[in-house]
Amino acid sequence: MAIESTGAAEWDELAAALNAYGVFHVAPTDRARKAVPPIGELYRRLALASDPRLQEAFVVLLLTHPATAGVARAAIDTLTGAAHDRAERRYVAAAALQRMWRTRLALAMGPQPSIPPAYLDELGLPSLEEDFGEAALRRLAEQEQARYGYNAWSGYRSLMDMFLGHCRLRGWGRTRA
Amino acid sequence: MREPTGRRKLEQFLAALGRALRRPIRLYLVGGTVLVDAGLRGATLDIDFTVDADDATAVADFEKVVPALKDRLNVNVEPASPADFMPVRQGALGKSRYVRNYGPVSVYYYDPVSLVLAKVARASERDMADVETMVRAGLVDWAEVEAAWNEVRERPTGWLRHSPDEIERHLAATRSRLNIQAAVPPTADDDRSVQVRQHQRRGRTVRAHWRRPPPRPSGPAQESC
Repeated sequence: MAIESTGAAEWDELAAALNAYGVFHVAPTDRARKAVPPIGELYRRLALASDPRLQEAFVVLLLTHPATAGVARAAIDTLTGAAHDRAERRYVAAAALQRMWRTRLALAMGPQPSIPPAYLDELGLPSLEEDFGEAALRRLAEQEQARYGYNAWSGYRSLMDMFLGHCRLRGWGRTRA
Repeated sequence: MREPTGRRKLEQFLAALGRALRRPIRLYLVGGTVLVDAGLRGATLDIDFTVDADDATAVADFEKVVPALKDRLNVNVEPASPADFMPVRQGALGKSRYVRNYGPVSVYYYDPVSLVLAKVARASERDMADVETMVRAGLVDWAEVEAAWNEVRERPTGWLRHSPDEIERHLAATRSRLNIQAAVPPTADDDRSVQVRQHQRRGRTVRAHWRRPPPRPSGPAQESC
């Protein structure tokens, strides 16, 4: 198992790994080539990351590679405590956002498999089919705001604006790992 | 986060606004708010609007009143306009549809054609469903949407959120969803005796040309020879 690093080193490792999976909205400060972890390990490391932008990148990675949803869930299963809770919520957010923006995502990246529903019952969330996924995301955001104190709804909207702007770019999603 | 707004809450907000204001003001409902008011959708997250008045003091009064109403009625109220997403057609406000009055507040549906184009520009699944609803309910004529798009697409500015090419792709997806074939409107250079329509065949866009019949001469019907 890789030794988790912290701070700038963590940022560089995980940003470089994201880039290797075709996710370019973050970049390492040190461009020296680094070993790229398998995508399951990357999901786990993102969920454990200290920087919120890297934690959010879990959503971006899953939206970019929805076929790896099973691998993402397996990674979540290895987590405990707050990291496990946050990762479950990010998985649901990705699944909801994918349904909310299905046409735009298909135009940008081609048809994609749906991220299968998961964790809805244990988090007390409505079906992803309700209101094109918006009902689940709204309820999720309310819970996060109550639990963690930040405006999660605005956060998810900004994240999706960013993703929709980036995912049309040449090379997005292209894996060199 | 406040709860989404249904028709009853929207009605309460508009009625309260009408009681609170003294000077005439025009309130243009925008986005999903139009569909809620028209009974075509159950609820919307925000009451989206834009305002206009002949007297600037009326707008100032409106801006003072709205925050208190938001809190009292527990609604999200957001200034918004299709022009936030892309250029709008000439005279869009004038093409808005008068609905009713609440005291001095005249309520309109912002130009439905511009609303549809803004939703096509954003193209969330909710937006696509709303466009389909508006077209099928007869709230908007698709030929007018195409004409408005042809008018605005050449504008040099207003494309910070979505480029014309991007919106054109969204439009193609919308046409496909509505099972509408794109009609290519004639330009000044076109031979007006030739009609051009384009349609999809095996995933490719095909343009078909045929010559229009000459106009019949006026007068009594001619017997065939």
